[in-house]
Amino acid sequence: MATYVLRRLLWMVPTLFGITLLLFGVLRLAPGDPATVRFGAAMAAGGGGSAQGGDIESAIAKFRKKYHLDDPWYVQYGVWVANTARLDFGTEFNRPNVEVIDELGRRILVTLPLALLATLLSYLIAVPLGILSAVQQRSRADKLVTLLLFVLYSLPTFWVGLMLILVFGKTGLDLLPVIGLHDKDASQLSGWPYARDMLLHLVLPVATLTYGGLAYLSRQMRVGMLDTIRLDYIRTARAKGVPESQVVLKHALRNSLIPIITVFANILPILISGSLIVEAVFGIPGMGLYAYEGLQKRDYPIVLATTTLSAVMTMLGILLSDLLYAVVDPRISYD
Amino acid sequence: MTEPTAPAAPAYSKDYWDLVLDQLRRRPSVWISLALLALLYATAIYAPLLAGDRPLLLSATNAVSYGKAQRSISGIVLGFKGLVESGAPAEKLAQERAGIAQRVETMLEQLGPGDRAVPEELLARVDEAVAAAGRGDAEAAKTAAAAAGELARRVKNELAVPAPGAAAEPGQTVVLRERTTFPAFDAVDRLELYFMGLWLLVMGWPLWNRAVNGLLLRGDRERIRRARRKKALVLVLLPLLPLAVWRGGAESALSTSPYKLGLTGGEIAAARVVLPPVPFGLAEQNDGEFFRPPTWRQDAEISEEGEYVRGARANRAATIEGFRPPPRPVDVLAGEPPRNAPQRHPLGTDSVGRDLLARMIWGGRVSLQVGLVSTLFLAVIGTIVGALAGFYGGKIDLLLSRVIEIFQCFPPLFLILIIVAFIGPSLMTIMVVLGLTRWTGVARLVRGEFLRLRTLDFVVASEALGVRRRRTIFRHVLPNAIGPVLVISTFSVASGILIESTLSFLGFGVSLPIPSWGSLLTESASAEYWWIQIFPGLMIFLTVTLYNLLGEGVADALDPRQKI
Repeated sequence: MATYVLRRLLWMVPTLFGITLLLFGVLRLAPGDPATVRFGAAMAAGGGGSAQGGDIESAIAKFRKKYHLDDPWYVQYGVWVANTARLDFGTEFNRPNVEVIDELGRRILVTLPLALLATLLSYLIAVPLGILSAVQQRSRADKLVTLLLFVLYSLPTFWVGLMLILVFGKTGLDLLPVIGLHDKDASQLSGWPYARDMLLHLVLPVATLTYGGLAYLSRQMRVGMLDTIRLDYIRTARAKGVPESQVVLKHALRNSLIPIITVFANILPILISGSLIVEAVFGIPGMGLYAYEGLQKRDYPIVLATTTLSAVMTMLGILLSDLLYAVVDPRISYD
Repeated sequence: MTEPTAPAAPAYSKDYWDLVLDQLRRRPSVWISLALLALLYATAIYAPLLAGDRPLLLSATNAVSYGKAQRSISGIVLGFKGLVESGAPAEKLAQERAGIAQRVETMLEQLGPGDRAVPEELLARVDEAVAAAGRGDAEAAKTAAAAAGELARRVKNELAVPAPGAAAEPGQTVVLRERTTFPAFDAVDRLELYFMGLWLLVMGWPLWNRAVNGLLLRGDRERIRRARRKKALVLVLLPLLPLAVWRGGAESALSTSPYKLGLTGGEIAAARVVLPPVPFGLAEQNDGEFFRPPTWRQDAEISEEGEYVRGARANRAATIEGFRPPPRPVDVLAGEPPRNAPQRHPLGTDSVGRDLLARMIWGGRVSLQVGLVSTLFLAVIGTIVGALAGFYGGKIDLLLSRVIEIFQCFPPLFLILIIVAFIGPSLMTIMVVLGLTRWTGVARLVRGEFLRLRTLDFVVASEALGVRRRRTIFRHVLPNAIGPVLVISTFSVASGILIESTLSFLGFGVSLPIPSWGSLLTESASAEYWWIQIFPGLMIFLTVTLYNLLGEGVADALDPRQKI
């Protein structure tokens, strides 16, 4: 097992190089160089004054040197890889005194509860739904659930968020807050009122983040249950006179959970990319919004950091799901 | 001994596609979603005829353009005469001649046969003068120019028409002839015309297919099978024919046309005018009706002065605080539904009063195009990469599998966002990027199919027979892998449309010149103008659902084992 994990981890290295090279290629293909992005506004503003213009020029020169912009691309890439290996993602372009890694740490604390809550909820709803529609296959309830999930699956995530805002926000029922994570004056609260405020703010984002995974999970659950329930040992159990509820919930459930337990590993990449849309819709300052802001401002260090991080998370997620297979299903072994 | 029986007629054995078609026919979800999708594509393809401010048909006299030409012609001819007499060079004269010819043309377009002689003669004399001057024959040129001047005076005096609304003066006998034009078709370019023809054939397929099978092929299933390819060829080539004579595309459908204004002002006196069912242009603004709610609603009612009668908008406080421009009366142009008719703007308007329904009909073009074209890209890339990896195996497979893995470890939306954000969104970039980043699913699928198929007897046999490798791949292995690719492609169109709309929402989508459904829906983030967010979103949802339904049905039909 340990050798398997080690081998897989080693295989990740060339893939990671490939990803970062691809990323570097895309960023280099982009028109305009980072210096003009960083100082474009300043140059436009102070283009006339000669004294200020000189200031900006020296600042640009310093900036170019700091980020090795005048060196060939492989030097830039090498410097970046060396820094990244030490978890040094540099500072933001637009706020030069903010370390990207610190900001990442702050942001992940926002996204983590969001992603965890959404994942937990989608499992809690998906498993019973899947069991129900598998046990009563081709019944009216099964057809209804299947149709409902199908519809959910075809809805654009951001649109669902917008519709929720329409319905529950100020102009609709005025039930829930729709923007951000806290009220304006939440800093004066503490204890329960503070938590309550945050929970209320989380309702709509979590609902939006939940529904997509819900559709996928409960389809998997239904398939898993259907596959299991046809096996011989289930027939044996029934023949012995075990009550149907026991057969389903005790005998079949365990084995049918295998496919959807492994999907659990998907939560890692969701931490960044999956929540991007939801965080953008509801203005929640998490990882996704951070990546989005970086893209909007063309802030190279942020883009590089968030993308690399999410690629690593995706790879770890795939590895984790392979390992979970072996954990939940003793028949599979990687030795 | 038994009687020798007559040899039985060879039974028709169904081939793969027969079986697939049988399966598809049995699934109502497939043909219902196919029919609805065909309709959706029809609205996008025929958008210029469904929504626009150009009349489909216009029989009208245009007194304004005629009058302008008729009044100005004598002055120009006088100037021409002066130039000839002063012995101006031939090029100068030719320039003047072009101006005269243009006006004569405008007049002739609307003059009846009895009145055409004078302007025609005038143009002939002018030509004569130019030709004579070119030869250096100054005398002849002067004579011709003098004759032209005389004719120009006659044009001015005898061919005048009354101004719109005014009664004819004595001596004015000219009656303008109505001209029938098709302005909406003038804005259709050749590519659009091809697709219009193609779609006519596609939508009529159940009809003509049955006719051809019954009458031409006499229901012989073998012949029907052999004719499949020919039918597809005819379907694709036949719409090319009208392109040979088509000169359209003179006007751009994206700009606002003057027809409705002219009709309203009486400058264009129309005997017959047929506007498209949605008589609003893609870019036609209407200042009095910005952010007007769907007009079938109570709160969309607007008074004569342009103020809302009911609902939150009737409260003028917001106007005074400066949130909104003051109300302006609504201009109802000729051919538009009345001010408070429910069908005026059934889906409301946007920030500058453009009709949302018209824009959605046009917007379908972008959304559907992005989904389809990007899927074409990804299917081709994925199939090639997967086929290479699966068929050759070994080092090539290892290398290509690594590449696939690299692309897979990018969260898909992320890579697309980065490329679009840094390289800049245009329709082409988005379609290419959506293709380039999502081919891995197809590639893995094709690779798997090839790995499975290459060990089967028929592939081994074809290799043993010495068939070239390329032929083995394309003729024998690939057709067997096409079914699953078809399924995954159908789902890819759906997700492509979803991703495009998400890009638009995040501010990285295309907005000009034609909006997509996604960019339409993000034109207002305010919940107050809910219709802007709801209706385009519903179209995206409908299209994606239809494609998912179709994909599900096709997957079912192609592989009955997967059916649960």
